[in-house]
Amino acid sequence: METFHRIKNWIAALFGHLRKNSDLEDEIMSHIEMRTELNIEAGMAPDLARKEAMRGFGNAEALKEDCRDSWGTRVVMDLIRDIGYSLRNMRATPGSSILVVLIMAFGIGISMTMFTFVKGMLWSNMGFPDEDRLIDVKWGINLKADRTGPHPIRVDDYLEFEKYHRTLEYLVGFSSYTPGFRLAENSDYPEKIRGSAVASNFFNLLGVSALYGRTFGPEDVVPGGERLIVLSYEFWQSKFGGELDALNATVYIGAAPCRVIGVMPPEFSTFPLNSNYWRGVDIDTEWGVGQPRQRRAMLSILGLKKEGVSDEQVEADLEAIAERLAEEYPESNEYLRDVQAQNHGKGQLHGEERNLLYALLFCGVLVLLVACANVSNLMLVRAARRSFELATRNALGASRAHIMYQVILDSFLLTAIGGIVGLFVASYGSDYIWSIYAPLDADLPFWWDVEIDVATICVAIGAMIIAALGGSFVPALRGARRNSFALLRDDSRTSSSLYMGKLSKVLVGLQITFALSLTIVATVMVLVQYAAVSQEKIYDRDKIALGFLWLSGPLYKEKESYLSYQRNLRERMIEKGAENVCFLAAGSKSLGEVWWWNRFEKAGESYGDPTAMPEASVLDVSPEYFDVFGFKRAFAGRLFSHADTEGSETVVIVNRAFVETHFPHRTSPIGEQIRVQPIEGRESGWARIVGIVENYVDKPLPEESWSDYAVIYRPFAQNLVPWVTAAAKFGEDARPWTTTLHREMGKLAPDNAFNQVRSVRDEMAFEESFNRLIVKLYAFFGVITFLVASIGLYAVVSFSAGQRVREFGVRMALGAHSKDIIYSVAKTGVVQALAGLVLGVLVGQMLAQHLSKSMNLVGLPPVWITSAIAVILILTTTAISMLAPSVKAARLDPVKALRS
Amino acid sequence: MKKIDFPQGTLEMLTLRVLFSGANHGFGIAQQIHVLSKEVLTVEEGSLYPALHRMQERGWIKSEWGRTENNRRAKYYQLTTIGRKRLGTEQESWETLATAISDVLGSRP
Amino acid sequence: MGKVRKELLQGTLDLLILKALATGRMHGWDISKRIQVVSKDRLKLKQGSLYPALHRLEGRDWIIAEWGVSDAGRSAKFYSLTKKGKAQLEEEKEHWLSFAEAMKSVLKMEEQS
Repeated sequence: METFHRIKNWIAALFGHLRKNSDLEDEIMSHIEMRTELNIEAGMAPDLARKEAMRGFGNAEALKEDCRDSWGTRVVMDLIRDIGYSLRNMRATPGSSILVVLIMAFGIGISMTMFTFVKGMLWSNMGFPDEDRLIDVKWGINLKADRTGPHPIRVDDYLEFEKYHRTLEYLVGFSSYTPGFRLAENSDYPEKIRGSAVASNFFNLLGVSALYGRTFGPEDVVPGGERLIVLSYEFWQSKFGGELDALNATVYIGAAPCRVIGVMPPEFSTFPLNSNYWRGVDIDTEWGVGQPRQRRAMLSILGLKKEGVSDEQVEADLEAIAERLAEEYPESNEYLRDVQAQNHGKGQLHGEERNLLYALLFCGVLVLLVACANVSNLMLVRAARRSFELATRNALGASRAHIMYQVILDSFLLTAIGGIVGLFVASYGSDYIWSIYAPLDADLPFWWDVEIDVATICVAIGAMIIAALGGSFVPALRGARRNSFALLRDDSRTSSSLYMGKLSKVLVGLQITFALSLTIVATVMVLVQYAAVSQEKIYDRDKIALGFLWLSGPLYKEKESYLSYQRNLRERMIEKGAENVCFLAAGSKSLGEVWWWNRFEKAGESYGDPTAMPEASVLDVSPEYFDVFGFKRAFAGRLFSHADTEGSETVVIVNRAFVETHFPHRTSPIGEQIRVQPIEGRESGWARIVGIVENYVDKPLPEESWSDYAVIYRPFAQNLVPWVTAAAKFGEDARPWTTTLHREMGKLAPDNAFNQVRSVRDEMAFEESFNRLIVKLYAFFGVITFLVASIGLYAVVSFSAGQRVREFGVRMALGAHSKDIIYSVAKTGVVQALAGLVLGVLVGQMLAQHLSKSMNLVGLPPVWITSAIAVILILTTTAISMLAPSVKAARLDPVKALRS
Repeated sequence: MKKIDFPQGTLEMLTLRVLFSGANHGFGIAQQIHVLSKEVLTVEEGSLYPALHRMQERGWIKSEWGRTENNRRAKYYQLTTIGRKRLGTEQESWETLATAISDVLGSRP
Repeated sequence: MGKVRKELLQGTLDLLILKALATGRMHGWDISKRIQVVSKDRLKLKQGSLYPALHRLEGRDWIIAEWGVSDAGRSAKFYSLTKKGKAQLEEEKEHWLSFAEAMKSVLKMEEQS
């Protein structure tokens, strides 16, 4: 009970300390008054009475101290007083204090920004129960080596998997699509709203239930039955105003009525692939009915592994099924024997992108290390400056522990302030970066969340502690040593002062290593940016507008209809003012460097197995393509014309890079026959090369990268697919024209909503956003670390010079020249600087190599150039940092120096 | 001026005893002790106030500002329930000590 | 009665030691044992306070010390009362009694007559 009261009073005392102080004063006053009164009554003279009364209290201060002691707040009050002392000390040394705070803030700010970023993308939870068992299932020819990537899984294959799998609890096929969405049967133009068509056990797989209403299950989805959909929370809010009467309402998707039966909670968001609603479909009967096996609609697959099953087991299980299918249906499934199962969360990032993020994290750590080394060094310098003061304190009887405590407290306070500022910087920084990146990528996984949380703060605190201890522990020990007389006598000699020569030099060396590695990487990045910008395409990005469309529905059952759509659209757009319009079979996203990669065979050659076949990009285009995309003329042979149709000879056109890669010794491969391997089951026959065009990149390519730029162009009319990208070229900036293009595309294909129409420049901004972001971040890193390292170096060298002022004075009086002095100062950190340089180059090279491989950076200047640039940069700043103080030292008036 | 060292706890016990009869301020407590002991015991302010604050911190007594008969402001202390219990224990240990010493003193030389 | 002496705590210890030595010459350990026994185990002297007290008393010439041999055959310092000490003992005893009396009256809370 007593302890409880003690604690209660302790807390109250903490808050009421001041009040209690004045209270005590009042109490003492009142006592004195009463005593005085009594004395006067007893007959004493007033002032004598008072004097006597006060004498009773004797040493009032001691009494007050005793009382305060009993309040139990002494420890805290002492701490507050010590902190106050530290703050005053900081004010007395504003320069180095601000420097420490700034550097710490930078270090923590940047590294924590990186940390939250990486953590948000790599280590966030999806929020599903059993999410570690949730997998993506993909298949392809030879997934590990094949650059074409995974093959789409067709309905019939999916149904086989579903029937015969043994290692999964659930297997769910789904596809996202963007049909026209209408709230009522007769409302206006349908809106483009992306949704997912999912197999009926989708929600069972995920184990989530609706917020309002319900989700559908296998019993709800029957062939020919009612179409049911569930809405996402955001969609429900934005489209239906968050009204509960949305439940059971009927909406029209792709002109068919569907009933809303539920709304998902906000945490579920738009899984997968940015869906606004989910429709349960019976895949067997509703998808691509009547089409041959190889065409029948494409799906993605999610699975839930059974407990204790590994990814490899799932792969083996499904591969057995795939093998059987390959035997049974060779025309469509011949080479598709490779299955890949991967955790869905992990699968959001490619291996390369993950590596990039890890590298980013590593760089963040490096920055932090540089900052910490810097800060520690600066604090060594600060402590060294105080060596005289500390020695005095020690001589006057301050205990060792107390002196150590004071020095360490000072360091902790500084790093704490810097760290807190840094956390704010990190918070704003990561928000800012995320706000730039996130809107660019519509398919961003919803659970990627970039925020500062407890883990981040703990890491930051850890860093602060390390930095503080690093810089203060050793000088604190030294400062508190018993024999401080040596210190008091003479503080100009390194051995007896607190300046830890060796430790400081090591820190300098480390700093340089880290800073240099980062600078090298940053230089690489900056050069890449430069190279990318200067890597002009032969077409003008700003003047071409793109729209992507998937022609479906009753109007487009026949292939001929695709062509008539293209013809009509082209006429209309040219009427409206476009210079030309062409069509390509490429998703709007793949207008980047790498298109559809495919294997092909050359006539007259035989290949052991599919993986031995050569590869090239394949692009199906309408004849106007070459005009729209800036190919000036046929290099050799001819371009496509409208005469190249399904009925006529199958032809292809190739580009220069293709020729250099695959027909290197031929004067002209025109007339040669090649056959492209089936793309998604679409066969193609032997085609004759009828023309050679230039590369789509406007600069000479290094030999090793020719194969990356090789392209086979095929006439669209000979390889008809329902998905189309329309590209319209204008004589001016295409952006204002996008609405026109959108409208015309819509008019000609009602009930087919499609994605946003954009100029090529904007479209590519999407593609490159991730890489661009990383590059920018690295460049930023480099600059900051660079600055931080230089500043630190300068501070340390300048202090060392300052310490030796007297020595210089003596030397100069004895006849030394200024250049001797400069040499002497500059010599201070040279060994460590050199060691740091060598190490830094090594580490930096490694990092840069790794990065350029991960990011497929093509056309890089050789690494030795970038290293050289970085080394020169660092050397220059190092030289300046070291020389400036030494020059200052050399300019001293020897007499003054001796006197100081 | 040197402080009076009462044997451990005796000052606290005396204060508790005085307060047992009614609330009082510091000055009054010292006066009471002085008077009741027939002026044998003089409590120095330097021991009294720290003791009062100690006891308050432990919850034996509590305080409140009030007015004396002469309308002066003074801080009045009074016993708490714990304090009352405490008085008993302290008194007991005092009895023990006093008896023990008497025994020693009373023993034949 | 005069004012009670200021170092009462110290004084109590001194008193007990002087009283113990009134019975005869003994060494330090014996003193603490005797006090413990006579007080029926209620008073236990700490060695840490005993020896400084003995030195203090010696410094004031109230007791005198000389080396001798204990029962166990070991050499030990034996203490005995001086004449001054005997007088001091009486004085301390009086002081204590008046203190104890004063405490009693306060505890009884009898109003001054």
